[in-house]
Amino acid sequence: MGFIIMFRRTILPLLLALIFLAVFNVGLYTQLAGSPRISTVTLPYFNDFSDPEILDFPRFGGDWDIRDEQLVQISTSGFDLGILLPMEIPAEQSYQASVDLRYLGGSMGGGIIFNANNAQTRQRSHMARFNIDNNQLYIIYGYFGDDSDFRGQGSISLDIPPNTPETMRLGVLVGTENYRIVLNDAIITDDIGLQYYGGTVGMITSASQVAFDNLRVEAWSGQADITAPSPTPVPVTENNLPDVALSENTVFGDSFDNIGDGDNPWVAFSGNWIFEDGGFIQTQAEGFDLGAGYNQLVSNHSVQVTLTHIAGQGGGVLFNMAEPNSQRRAHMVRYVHDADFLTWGYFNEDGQFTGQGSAPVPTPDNMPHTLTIRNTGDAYFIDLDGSILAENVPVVMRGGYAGLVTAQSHVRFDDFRLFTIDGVVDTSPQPEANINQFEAVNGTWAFGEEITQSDSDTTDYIAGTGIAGETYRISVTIDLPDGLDDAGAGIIFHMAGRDDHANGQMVRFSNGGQELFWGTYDENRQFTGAGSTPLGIDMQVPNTLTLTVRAETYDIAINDETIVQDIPVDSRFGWVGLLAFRGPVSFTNFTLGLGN
Amino acid sequence: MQANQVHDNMTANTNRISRFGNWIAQPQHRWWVYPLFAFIITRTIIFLAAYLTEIAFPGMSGEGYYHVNPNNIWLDVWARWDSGFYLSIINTGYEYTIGLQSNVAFFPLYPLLVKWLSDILGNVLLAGIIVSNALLYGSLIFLYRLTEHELDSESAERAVFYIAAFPTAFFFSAIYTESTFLFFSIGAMYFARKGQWAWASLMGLMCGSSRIVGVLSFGIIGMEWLRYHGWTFSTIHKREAWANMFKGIRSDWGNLAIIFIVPLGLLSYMLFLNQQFADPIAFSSVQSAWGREMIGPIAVLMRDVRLLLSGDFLRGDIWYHIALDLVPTFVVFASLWWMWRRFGESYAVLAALSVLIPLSSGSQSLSRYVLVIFPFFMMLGYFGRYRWLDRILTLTFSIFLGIFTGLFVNWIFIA
Repeated sequence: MGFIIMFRRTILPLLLALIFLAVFNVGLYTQLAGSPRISTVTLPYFNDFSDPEILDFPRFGGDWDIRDEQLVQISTSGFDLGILLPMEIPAEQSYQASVDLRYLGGSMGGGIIFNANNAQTRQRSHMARFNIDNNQLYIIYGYFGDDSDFRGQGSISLDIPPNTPETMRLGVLVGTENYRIVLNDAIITDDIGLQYYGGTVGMITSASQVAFDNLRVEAWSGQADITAPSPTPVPVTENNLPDVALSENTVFGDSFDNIGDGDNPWVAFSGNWIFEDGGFIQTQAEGFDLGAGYNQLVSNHSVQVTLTHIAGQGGGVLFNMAEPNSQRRAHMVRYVHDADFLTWGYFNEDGQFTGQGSAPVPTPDNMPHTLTIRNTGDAYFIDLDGSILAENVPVVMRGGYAGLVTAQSHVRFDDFRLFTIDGVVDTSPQPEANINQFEAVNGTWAFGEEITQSDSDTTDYIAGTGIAGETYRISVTIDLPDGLDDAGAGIIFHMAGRDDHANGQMVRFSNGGQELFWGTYDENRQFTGAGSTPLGIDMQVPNTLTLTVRAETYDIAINDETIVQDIPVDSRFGWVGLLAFRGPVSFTNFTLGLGN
Repeated sequence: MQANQVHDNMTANTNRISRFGNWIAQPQHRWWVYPLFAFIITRTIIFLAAYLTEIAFPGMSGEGYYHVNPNNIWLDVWARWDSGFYLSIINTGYEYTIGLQSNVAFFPLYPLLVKWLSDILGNVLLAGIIVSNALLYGSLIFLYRLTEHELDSESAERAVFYIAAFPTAFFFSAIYTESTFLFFSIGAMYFARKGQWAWASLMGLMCGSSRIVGVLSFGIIGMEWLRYHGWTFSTIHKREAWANMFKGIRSDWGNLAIIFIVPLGLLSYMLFLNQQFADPIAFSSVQSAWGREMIGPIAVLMRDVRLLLSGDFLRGDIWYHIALDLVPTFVVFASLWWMWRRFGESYAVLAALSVLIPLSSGSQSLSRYVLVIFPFFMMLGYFGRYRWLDRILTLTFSIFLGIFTGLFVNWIFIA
């Protein structure tokens, strides 16, 4: 009897617990373990969808099927429905992916998802796909972030009817740092920065039925290998030239022969620009869209430039710039850095580039080439060495400045011409201060002919000038406040950002002008002094501080008298700012000359 | 057939019904009859409400608002919101993507039961609904027996009705784990209260396999074992309580050891997660994808109350979920002292932790979590002896149960 009770109360439930644990664990591993992993595919990969294997691949939404040996996504109700290859492309592998697409219905479009870091979803991936907006067909491109939300990097308007029944081949050439988009074997935009690296590739649709075919993913050398017809220059004739005569309307020309430090209309806003032997040269061979603006306002202008690639290729021109010190809100035409193409388009307010087209051109080699933009006001024409490459490209940005640009190349510009279209030219010299886009980092700054910082707390107040460079000569006249024995002011250069003084090197008066000291901010913005020297100058009056910054060292001069020479420069390039310790401090006669 | 023959047949049928009525009304059958009544009445309400709402109102549509079986509304309406995760576990197994909402957050016992039954029935949705409702009925029986044990049969009758008619009780019939958890949770307490430690531990083991807070059963059964041997929090200052405890350890160590099988369900799942995804606490790691952040219950309450009060009540521009979640939460908190005094500390600790653990990272879905705090419904059963309160609870619970069921099937988030 006792055993029966014990069996019922203890042994039976323990046996059941044992059985439960065994069954539970077996069930976990046999019934609830994830689906068996699909065998991965490797480069090169080609699929003409003659078998339904791809339907086993990971997908995120949509109704995918194989019909007539095409992969079809049927659902029109969902956004960003995709299917991914079980592939793991290393981050350092350049590759190209392309696929044929044909609309079956719906309103938006299909495309390619690439560098997808999440093998199951769109999270952390890039995408380029068709999109219809206001009855206009576009390619939109960007990336899905950590939160899987799409962030656009740009769009390209296409001269193709929306919902065209024609098959189009969309591709991406994916490098290690950037990518380009190819439509029907022509590059339509390039040098788009990557946010995510490596991963896998797939197809994606949004509110549309799309048929995909001939998916091809293969390694790429990183150099463009687009099968495109040889450039066929269009002869310049009276008929196909726009009605923009150039020579009679030249308003500014610069052959870079007589540039002096104090009379420089050029504003370099990125890259390393120097004047040398009658040329204006951008020497920094790495980096995209490194530019310099010509500080002369000419509403509605055409522009012509002669350029020679010294290393790499990627030179070009900016025009209709809203500001001379930024490519934001500007049109750009330039060589593609590693392909024999010229590309054109515009940068928006956020600096995102939207391509308007591209054309194959002969390799520029190290020969001079003349690039001319003829601007009619509403459209522009591009000619290279007398051959028209594009006609009637819509003008989107309508600013009044022009400039020069390079990408991944060392380029020499020998001649720059600016032409007016309608004679609306402001020929008055632009105030020096206007070339700068001052921006307060902290403190209370007022920017104008005289720049002042009026907060009086015992801390460093910084304002960015909006200018960056490597070698230059900066000068500013400083008036310290009377009666504040510890007040100071000076210059900070090689800052990490226009409003970020990390890595910046600082030179300033201190102790009411009784001393000059200098040092460096580290990446955490912690200052370390590098040296100081007592000054015997009268700070009751303004004094001029001048820095001559070279690649390796810099000099400090006060009122044109050199105080210290050859102080080491810690970094090669950065942004310039003004600095005040306490206030009110006023700065006047701020000048910056490029080169040395 | 002649008239007198018809009359005789009717009389015979009436007698049979009458005898059946008398039979089920006998006291020894109450433990299964009253739960059955409560089950039938409340399930009729929610099944009708769900069906009528689905066909009468369009509900939400678009991406994410899935319909597992649109050809059978009676089944389809019970798969909403988190049901998709359970169905994905059943259909394709566990998957885990760091940073995304993944089904590893959902414990395996319920999907495993559904999976096995669906292999027999050939219909996952039907299997899920059957498992949910069968375990609900089992839960009601356990609740009846436990409440009868702690209070009286009248309180037990009311308690089973209140829990089955609670406004969020439709989750008991949906593809959710509520009824599974409730069944094993009450079962563990029931057997612990009876001093049947092996059965209690078996129930606790399964409870810990059905939801993360199920592992609380380990502590609850342990507390009951201590109470059984004369040690409680309220006697902690008494020397004899400690002496009793040590005596219990010496004399009843076997049962104490058995209690340690309770966490094995959770450990099994953790081993599985480690083997599959190299993250044994993936069910916890994934919580941030639901916007849950461990900031503590007080911070959550302050944040959510502030959010609620910042709305415009006249225009209806308020975070109504917060109200839905916080009202029952506050009521449970307010009841803790009574539960402690009337049922014992293990009930109060169970109720408190069942709220505090989820509340530490957010108030979202608390009105659903409250649903399985059975001591709360035992208390309501006790106070339902006041007729006015019984009527208020019966009326409001039934009305809101119908409304919330309708909202749920129309893809309007409730909990």
